[in-house]
Formats: sequence, structure tokens, C-alpha cells
Amino acid sequence: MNRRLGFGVVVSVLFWQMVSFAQTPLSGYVKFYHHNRWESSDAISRTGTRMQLTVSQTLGDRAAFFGSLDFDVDEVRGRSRFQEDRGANVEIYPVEMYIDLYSPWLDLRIGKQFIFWGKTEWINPTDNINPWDYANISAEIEDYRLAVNAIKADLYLGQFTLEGVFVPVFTPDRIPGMGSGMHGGGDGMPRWFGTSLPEAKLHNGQIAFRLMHNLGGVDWSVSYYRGNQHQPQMRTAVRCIPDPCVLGLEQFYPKVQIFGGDFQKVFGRWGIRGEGAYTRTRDLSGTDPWLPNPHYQTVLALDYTPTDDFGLVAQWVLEGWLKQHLESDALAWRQMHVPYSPEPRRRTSWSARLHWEPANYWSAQLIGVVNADTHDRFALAFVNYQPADALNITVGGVFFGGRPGTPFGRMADQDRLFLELKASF
Amino acid sequence: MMRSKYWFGLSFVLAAAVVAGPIGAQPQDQLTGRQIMEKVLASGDWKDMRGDLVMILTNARGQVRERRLKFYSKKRSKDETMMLMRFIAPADVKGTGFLVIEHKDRDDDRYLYLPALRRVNRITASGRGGNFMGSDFSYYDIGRPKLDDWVYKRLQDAQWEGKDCYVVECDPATEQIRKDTRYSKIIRWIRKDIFTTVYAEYYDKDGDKWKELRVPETKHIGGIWFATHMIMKDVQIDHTSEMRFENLEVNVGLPDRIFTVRYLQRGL
Repeated sequence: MNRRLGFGVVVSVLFWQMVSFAQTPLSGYVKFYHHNRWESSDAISRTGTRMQLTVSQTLGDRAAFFGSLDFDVDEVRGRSRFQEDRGANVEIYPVEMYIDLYSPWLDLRIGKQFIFWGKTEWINPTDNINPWDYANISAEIEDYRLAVNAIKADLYLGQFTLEGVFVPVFTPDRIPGMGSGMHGGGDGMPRWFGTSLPEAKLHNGQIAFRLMHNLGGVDWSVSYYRGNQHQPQMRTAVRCIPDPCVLGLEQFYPKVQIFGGDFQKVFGRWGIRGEGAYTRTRDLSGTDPWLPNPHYQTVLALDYTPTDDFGLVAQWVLEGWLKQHLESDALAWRQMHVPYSPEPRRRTSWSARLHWEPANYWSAQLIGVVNADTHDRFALAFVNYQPADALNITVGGVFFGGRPGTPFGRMADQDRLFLELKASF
Repeated sequence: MMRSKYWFGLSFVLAAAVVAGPIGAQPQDQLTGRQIMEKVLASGDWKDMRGDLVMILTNARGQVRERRLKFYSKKRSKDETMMLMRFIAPADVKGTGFLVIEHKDRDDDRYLYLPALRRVNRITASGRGGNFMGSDFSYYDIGRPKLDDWVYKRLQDAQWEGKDCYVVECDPATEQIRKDTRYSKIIRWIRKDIFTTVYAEYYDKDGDKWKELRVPETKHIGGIWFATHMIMKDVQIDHTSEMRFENLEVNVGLPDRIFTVRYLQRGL
């Protein structure tokens, strides 16, 4: 029994004691899943079964608690670098566990939790607190997002709500194949030093604030995030142990500040939503080839529900990078034998979500994103059938396409089909 | 996956439940169709209420689906209501919540809380002719009809399950009402003693019978008559929807803070 599994068993025993003590009813689900990739030599065909136990209870008007615990038996076929974490064969881990404290003007949520910001769909420039699990894209958000230990405070000031979040320890995105193809420094190639995470010190914690308001039927908010970028970036590094000092490469998570805002307004069957953010990096002049440049992303969404059975959300996305010095950046990267693929100065994308529910027992959903300039694309499509109440069968696929080097083209070998059978109780 | 169609128009549910108010002193045999409907629509004097709603859907193959919700409602003014509903069952949508705050002068505020997304979102509204929660009740059926939307014709009195009833034919007053409701005609059987619709037939735009409503149970709670059990059958596709109110409590002094996004997103 490894340490992680041992820890999981301890957590589950404590969880069970908590449930018994509180005499609260258990809920949750049992899910069988199979994800099949067929294009990659590093294929991950995931077949497994998961049971999630959830317990929640209010403690009068002043407090509540929530906990959900996953028991996961996940077989990973083929070569995989995920054996050491979530893809391990047997795992018990808390999905969310937190305590809520309420007062007339302040709500606190303390513990492992999801905090999702933003009003547009799927692409949320202001949503920067919980990392993504790109190895586990499926129909359910808690599969592809990772909860973090955080303190969240909501302060109610009349018509305004001020939300503050503190995440003491940084968790990066989980990206399939990250670090693959790296080398030990032979043949004139730079040494690879691995991945450098921010130290677990208080001053490295992430903080975020959001001020929300409703004005005449328009919900709007402004937000601020200070922390680390969740996706890694390459940089040069020097290591002197052992001697002599050598120059090499490592992956790291650069510090960023993100200033954002969003709004939404509904007109009968139509809705309009918008969201945008400016990311201020530590390379404001754009002269450091190993730091990300300042950039922005805006999303404008149109939401239309023509009938009960059909809904459509169409989104226009504009993102851009500022202060680029492409030639000097390219030179620096090439000197270190790192493939250089610059971000374009501006990129326009379109995304859409179609939801169709022809009967009480059937529904289908398609989420697609196309980058207009580079023509690379992503699609998540699935069909859901309910043979009985609380019993769901979902069949779907995740598809990436585009030229190599484009954002989705890089993930072309991540295509997969999935089948999930889920019974909730 | 939460169904968007569950949500729209539910603010009217309780308006539908309130089936009659105080009965006037006018001689009842002389009442016109419109006067009868005025009495049916006379609102009860409730300020707030809470209870459980059970909805059972049965299709032609006998497949049954059951939904359970807990609801809270409070009047903001004579014509504006606030309502919060939360799913209890089925288990895969448990905790899903919906908040609607009606406004006379602009679109209602409608917020949906999906536990899976841990997020509250403002949602668009569907039309009045759409199905409520995937059932055979349209939003119009469960809503409180406006008196002037229809032209009334009193037909020959009849009995329904041993009770004397007025029979009133309701025709759309305008083409827009016909289009919105998708009904060409509604015939209502209204109990004379409590001015409650106990049976109704709904006809589609071609004049063919489309749906039948039966009200097997009404209850007098807090001085107000409520239709606590309603069964709607779509006779064209042989699909039935049953709506039952349980544990209904009226004028319990619900605080305004229940009807806020803050309370909705607590999710408990």
C-alpha cells in the first residue's frame, strides 16, 4: 500500500466517522468510465470505476459543512506519466471538503473547494483560481478542474458583494505529456532541470478579489488575481551542484497579475454576456525572452433559447500579446535548442455550445472552439441517455485538430472517445 | 446534466395552486362566463408560502420519472412574487436551485445554481407555451391567466364526479394569445361551491383535443383554496404529468434573505 493510498484510507475512515457523528444522509454516485485514445504512442485508455460519497449538513443558520470523497479504481493502459498521481491504479482522494461560516454580512468558506468565476461559457478570462486537469477532459467539470485549499470570504455591502480568496499553496494545471522529450544535456544540448514549483511559503500564496453588483438587471463585476500562471513556461537556469555550474532549462510558473471584469444581461429568450481580462506579467517591456509578455483576452457571448428543447451560446473571443520582440525572443530560444512558436499579436476565436433535448430521457451537447486565424479547433461532443431517474449513460468524444504548433494542433494526439455510466443516489 | 427546461415559468406554480378567493354575493345562476372566471381568479390573501412539489411524468411506454422540489415563495407586491426552488430528487440534480424575482416593469431576474458548476448564472426565459420542467403542463397552464386574455362563453352546466359545475369555454382574445399558448380553445369545468377548476380540456390550433386536466384534490389552507393535486394528460401522445403539492404552509413569515443569490448559492 503506498503512502497516498494509506492517506486515502485514513481520510475515508475520518469521513465515515464524520458522517456517523452528524447522522447526515450520504449521497453521491457510482460511475464507470472508459476513455480511449487511439492516435498517440503515449496512449492513455482509461478504464475505471469511481464512487463518490458526499455529505453536507447545515448547522443552524450559522454554519454548514460539505465533503465529497472519491474512491477511484483507474486502470491506465500503455505508457503514462500519470501513474504517480491521479491516474494511479487505486486512489482515494477528497474532491471538496470545506466548512461554511455565515454571519449577517460575511460568509466564509474554508477548505478544499472549487471557485469558478466568470459569466461566459467555457472560456473565462477571469477564472484563474482552480487549475485544469487537461488529462481528464470529460462531460463533468469536477473531472477536468482541480479543487484547491482556500479561504473564501464574501462580504455583503448593501447592493455590492466583495469576494476575497486566498490560496496558500500553488497547484499547477495537469497537462498530459508535460516534460516529455526532455534530455540530459548530451550532444551540445542544454541540460534539463525539470519543473520548478513556487515554494510553499505564505508570500507565494495566490490572492484574488471580486466586486459584484446588479444594476437594473445587469450583473457586473470587476476582479483581480495575483498569483502564478497555471500553465508552465520554459526558462534558462543555472545549477552549480555538482560543480561546475551549467546552464540548462527548466519549466516554471511565472508570477502574474490579472485584472478582469464581466457582465450579463437577459432579454427574454436572449442573453448577452461579456468577460475580459488583462494579464500583467513581470516582463512589461517584453524584452525578456523567458517571461510571458503582457496579454489580454475578451469574450463576448450571445445566448439564445428559441425553444424548450434547444439552446445555443455563440462566443467571440479576442486575445492578444503586447510588447512582442519576436526576433530577439526567437534567437534566445534557438540558442538553447528550444523550438520557438511565438504567440500571434492577436488571435480571434469562435466558440459555440449547442444543447438539444428532444425528450425527457435524451440530450445532446456540442461544445466547439475554432481559432479563426490558425484554423485549429477543439470539440467536445456527447449524448446523454437516462434509462431511469438518476441513471445516466453518456457517450462522447474530445477532438483536437490543426497544424502542428497551433494551440489545439499541439494536442492533436489527445483525441479520445469516452463512455460513462453513472448512477446517483 | 441539468435540463434548462426545468426552470422557466415556475414562478407561476403557486399562482396556479391558488384556485379561488372569496365568493361574492351575486346570484350564481345569473353569472356570465367572464364573471365566473373573475371569481376563479380572485386572488387569495397569501403573503408567503413554502412546501414540496412532486412531479411524476409517465410516457406512453409506461416509463416513469419523478422530480421532487422544495419551494419558498413571497409576494413583493400585488403583482410581483419572489420564489426559490431547490431540487431534492432525482439524485443527479439534487441541490440544483432556481431563484426568480418578478418585475412589473422589466424582465424577471432568473438565476440558476448548478451544484456541479458551483456557480450561479442568470438565465434566459422561455415562452409561455413551452413545457414546464419537461412536463405536459405549459407555463401558461400553471400560471395565473390574465382575465382579458380570453373571451368567455358559459355553456350548459354539468356535473363532474358528482359535483355541480359551471362549464365555461375560453377562446383566445387575440391572435397573439393563441400563438403564445398554442391553444385554440379551453373548456373548464368549475365547481360551483368553491369556484375551482376540477376538469379542463385544451384544444390545439387545429381545433383537435390536445390535453385534459383533472384536479383530484383541493385543500383549504390558511383560508385559501389550493389545487394540491393536478393531472395533465396529453391525449395526442399519451403522456401524463402529475403535480402534487405537499407540506404546504401559508403566511409563515419567510424572511427576504431567502430570495437572494447569496442564499441560492449556498446550495444546501
